[in-house]
Amino acid sequence: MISFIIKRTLMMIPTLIIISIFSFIVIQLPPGDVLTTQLAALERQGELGSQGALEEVAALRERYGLDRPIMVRYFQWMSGILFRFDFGESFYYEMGVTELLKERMGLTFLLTLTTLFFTWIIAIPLGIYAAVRRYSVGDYSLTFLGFLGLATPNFLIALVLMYVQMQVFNSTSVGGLFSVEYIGEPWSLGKVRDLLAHLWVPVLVIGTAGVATIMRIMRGNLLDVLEQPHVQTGRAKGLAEWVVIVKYAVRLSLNPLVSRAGMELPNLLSGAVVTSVVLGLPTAGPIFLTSLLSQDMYLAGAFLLLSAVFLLIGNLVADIVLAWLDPRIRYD
Amino acid sequence: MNSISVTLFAAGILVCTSTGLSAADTGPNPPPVQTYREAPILAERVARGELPPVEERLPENPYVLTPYYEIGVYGGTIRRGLRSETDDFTGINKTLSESLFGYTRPFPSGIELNMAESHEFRDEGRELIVHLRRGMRWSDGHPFTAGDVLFWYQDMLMDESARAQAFFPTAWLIHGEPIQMEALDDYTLRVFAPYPMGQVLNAFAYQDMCAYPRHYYARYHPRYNPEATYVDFRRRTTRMRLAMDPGVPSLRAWKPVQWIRGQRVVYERNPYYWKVDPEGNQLPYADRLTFTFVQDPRLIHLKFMNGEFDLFGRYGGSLIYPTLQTRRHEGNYRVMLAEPGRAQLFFLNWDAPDPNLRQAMRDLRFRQALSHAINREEIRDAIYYGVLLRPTGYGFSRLNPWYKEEDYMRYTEYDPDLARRLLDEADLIDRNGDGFRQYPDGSRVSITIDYIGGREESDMVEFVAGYWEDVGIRVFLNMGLGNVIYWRRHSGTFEAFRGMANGAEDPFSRLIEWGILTSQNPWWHRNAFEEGPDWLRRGTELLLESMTIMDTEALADNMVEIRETYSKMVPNIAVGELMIVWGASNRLGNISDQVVTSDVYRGWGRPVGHEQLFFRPEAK
Repeated sequence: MISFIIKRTLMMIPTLIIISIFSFIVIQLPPGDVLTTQLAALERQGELGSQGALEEVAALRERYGLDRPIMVRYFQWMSGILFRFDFGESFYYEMGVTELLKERMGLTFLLTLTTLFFTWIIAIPLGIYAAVRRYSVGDYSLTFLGFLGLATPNFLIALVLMYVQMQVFNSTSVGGLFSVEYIGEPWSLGKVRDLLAHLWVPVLVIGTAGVATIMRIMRGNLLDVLEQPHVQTGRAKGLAEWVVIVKYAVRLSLNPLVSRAGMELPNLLSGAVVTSVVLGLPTAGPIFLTSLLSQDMYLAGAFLLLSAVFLLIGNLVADIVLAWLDPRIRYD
Repeated sequence: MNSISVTLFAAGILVCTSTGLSAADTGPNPPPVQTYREAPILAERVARGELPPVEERLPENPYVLTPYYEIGVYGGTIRRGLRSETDDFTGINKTLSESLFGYTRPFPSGIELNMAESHEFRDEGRELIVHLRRGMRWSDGHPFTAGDVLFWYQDMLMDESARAQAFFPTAWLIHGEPIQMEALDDYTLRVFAPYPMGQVLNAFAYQDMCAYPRHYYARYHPRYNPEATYVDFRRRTTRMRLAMDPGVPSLRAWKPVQWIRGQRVVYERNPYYWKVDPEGNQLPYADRLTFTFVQDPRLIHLKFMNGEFDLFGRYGGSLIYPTLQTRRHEGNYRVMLAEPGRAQLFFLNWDAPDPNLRQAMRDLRFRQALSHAINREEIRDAIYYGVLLRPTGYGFSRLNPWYKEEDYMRYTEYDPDLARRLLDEADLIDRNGDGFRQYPDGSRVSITIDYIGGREESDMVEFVAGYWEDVGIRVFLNMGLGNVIYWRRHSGTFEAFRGMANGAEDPFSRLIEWGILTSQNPWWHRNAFEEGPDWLRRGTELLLESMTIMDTEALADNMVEIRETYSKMVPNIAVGELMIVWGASNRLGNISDQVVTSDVYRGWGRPVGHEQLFFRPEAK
C-alpha cells in the first residue's frame, strides 16, 4: 500500500510539470492582455518624455523577464511559486495574486465543503431509495425533481431564492455571505450566526444541481450491483433486506462516487462562478471570472495551475481511498 | 421637472466673467458664528485629549454649506454599493469630490468657491490669484497650504514621470501650453498663462481633488527624496489608491479607514473637515460612509430595495425602474429621475472604409435623412416606459448655458417622406427595385451598426435599424463584446457606432471629441486634419479661441455659433437623452430632486451632497 502511494505521488510530478508549462503558455498567449496594454501605454508616455514611465517599463520588464527567452521566464515564474509562494501580480486589483487569493480562500472552502456535504448527505439516500424502489411513484417523483434541479440554471434559482429571502423571510440582508456591517469585522458569535443565515442560499443553489447528478449516479450504480449474483446469494441466505442492500450492494456501488469526489476538488477553488457573481459572494469564483474578462493573466494562470493541482491531488486521494475500499484493486 | 431652474440656467448664469463670480454664486457669506459644534464621537475624543477642540480644527473662515432643506443631526452610516473598486473608484471620487472651485449644487447653475476663500483675475485674465482658507487642515491635523496644490499640479500632473495618465489634461492647456501655478505665500496661489484663462475656473471644478498632502507623499517622490523612485511613486498614487488607501491624509468629508479589496471600503468622518452648516455644526452629519462591492448591479438594486443600502445612483438603467417603483412603500425609499446630460447617439464614421458610404456620410442630406427617419417618440414609449427618454437631436444639452431648444430639436421630427426625398436628392435611389437604395455605381447602400449588447440599448438599436430600412437603407447589426467593438472603433474600421454624446453639456470638458486637435481626433473623423470640412475647422478654431475669452458676451457669441453650426451640420445622429434612475432611503434627510448626473458636474455623486445628508432620528 505504501509503495503504491509513493508510486502514485511520484507519477504526479511529470504531470504537474506539463500542466505548469501549459498554464504558462496560456498566460503568455492572449494578445492585448493587461501587461501588454499597460506596457504599450507606458512606452507611449515615455516617448512623450516621461522618464518615470520608462523606468516603470524597465521595472516591469525586469520583474516579468520580458527581454529573456520564454524558458527563462517560465523558470522565473515557477521558482517564484515554489520558493516564495509568489504567483505574480494582479494588474487589475493592483496587488499580489497570493495575497488576493489568500483573503478569499477560507470562505471559498467553507462554502464548497458545506455544499459538498449537503449534496452527498441528501443525494446518496435518495439515490438508494430510487434504485431499490425502481419505477415506483417515489422513483419517478425523485427523478423528475432531480432533472428539474439539473435543468434549471443556477443563476435563476439564485435570483428566485434572493427574492424569497427578501419577500418571504423578510431577511435583513440579501445575497452575499455576510450582512454589510459584518464585512471585514473580526469573527464573533454574531458574525457566525450571520454567516449561517446567509449560507443556506448558495448551498441550496449550488446543491440542487449537484444532488440531481449524484442521485442519478448512485441510482444507476446501485441498479447494476443489485442484479449481481452476490446480492442474490445474500438474499438466498436469508439476510435482512437492508443488510443486503447497505452492506453488500451500496458499498460496491460507491466506487464511482469516490472517483467523482476526487474530481470535485478543483471546484473548491473555482466552482460555481456564475452563482457567486449573482449572489455577490466574497469567494474566489468572481475573481476568477474577472481575471479572465480583464485578461489579468497572472491571476488567471494561478487559477489554472491551482485547479490542475487540486484535480491531481483529488485523483490521488480518490485512488488511495478506492484502493483501501475495494480489495479487488491491485497495487502494481 | 425643474423648469424654472432650467430656464434660469439656459439664460447663462454658468458663465464666469472676468470680474469673477456673481455675488449670489460665491456661496453664502458666513454669518458671525462664534461657537462651533461637532459630532458626539468627536466630542468624546476631544474630551479624552486625542483631538484639539473644534474651533482649532476649523479654518478661520470655514465654508458655510446651507443644507438643501434643513439642519441635520449627527450620526449614522451611509451605506452604498458599488460593482468594484477597480472599475468604479470614480464613483467614490465624485462622491467625495473637493476642489478649489466647484459647480453649485444640487443644480449646476454656476461656479462657486469651495476650498478657495476668494479669488481675483488680473491682467485681463492672464493671472488668477486664489486665496486659500487660513487654518484649513488635512485629516491628520497638518496645515493645508498652497504647497499642497503645487504638489498636485507640478509634482504629480506636470511631472511627466510621475503623471499616471499619458496626456496632460486638455482643460489645463491653452493653445497647447499648460497653465502655470506658483505660491505667493502659504495661503495665496498664483495661476497664470500667456493668454487670458477663460475656462480656468471650470478646469478647477472638473477636478475631484486638486491638492495632495505634500507632507505625506514627498518622501516617495524623487524630487524631494533622492532615494525614492518614480516606479514606487506611481504605484502609490494610482487613482484607486489615492482614493482608498487608509492612512493617507485627506481634505474630504470622510477619510478611508478600512479597505478590503473586492469587498468593502469604509470611510470615517474627517475631524478636520472645513465645512459647517449655518448654525455652526461641523459637517458631515453622518459618521461613516461605506461602499460594499457587489459585482452584479441587480444585487445592488435588490439590496437597496431591501434596505441594506441607503442610496444608489450609478447603474440606474431603465429596466429596474418599474420594479423599484412597485416596492417603494414596503421598502421605505423613494425613486427619482435625474436630469440627463448625455444622449444616445449613433456616431457615423466620416472615414468609413467603403468609399461610397464615406461620401454619403459626408453628405449633409444623407445625415438629415437618417435623423428624420427615426421615430423618437415611438422608441420612448415602446422601450423607455414613456418617461425615461427625452427625444433630442444633436447639439448642446439642456444643462449647457448656451442651450437652445430649436437647435437641440433640429431634424428630430419624424418624417420618413422627407427622409426619402433627401436621399433621392443625394442620388441614392432604388435603381433595381429591390426595396433598397443603391449608390450611383449600382452597389447597395448599407450601414453596419456596431454596438455593445445592453438590454434596452439593443432594443433601441433594432428600432432604429427598422426605421432606416424603412427609407431604403440596408442595415446590418453587429453586436459584440466591448473589446471587439472598441477595437473596431479605435482602428477606424466601423461604419456606425452606438455610443453616448460626450460634451453636450460642456464641449470644453471633451475638446478632443469636438475639435480637430490631433491627427486622430475627433475619433469619428480621424482624417479631419487633411479632409475635415470647413465648418469643423471653424468650430475647432472657435472652441480654442473661447478658452481665452473672459468677456461673457463675446464668449456667448462664439458658443452660439458653435451650437448652431454643429446642430445644423449634424455630424452624428442623436436619438434622445436618458433620464437616470436613482433612489434614496426615506430615512435620509436633505435629498434633493434637483440632482443632475452629468459627468462634467462630477456625476451624480457630488450634486447629491453626501456631507449634508443625515438620518432622521424618528426614522431610525
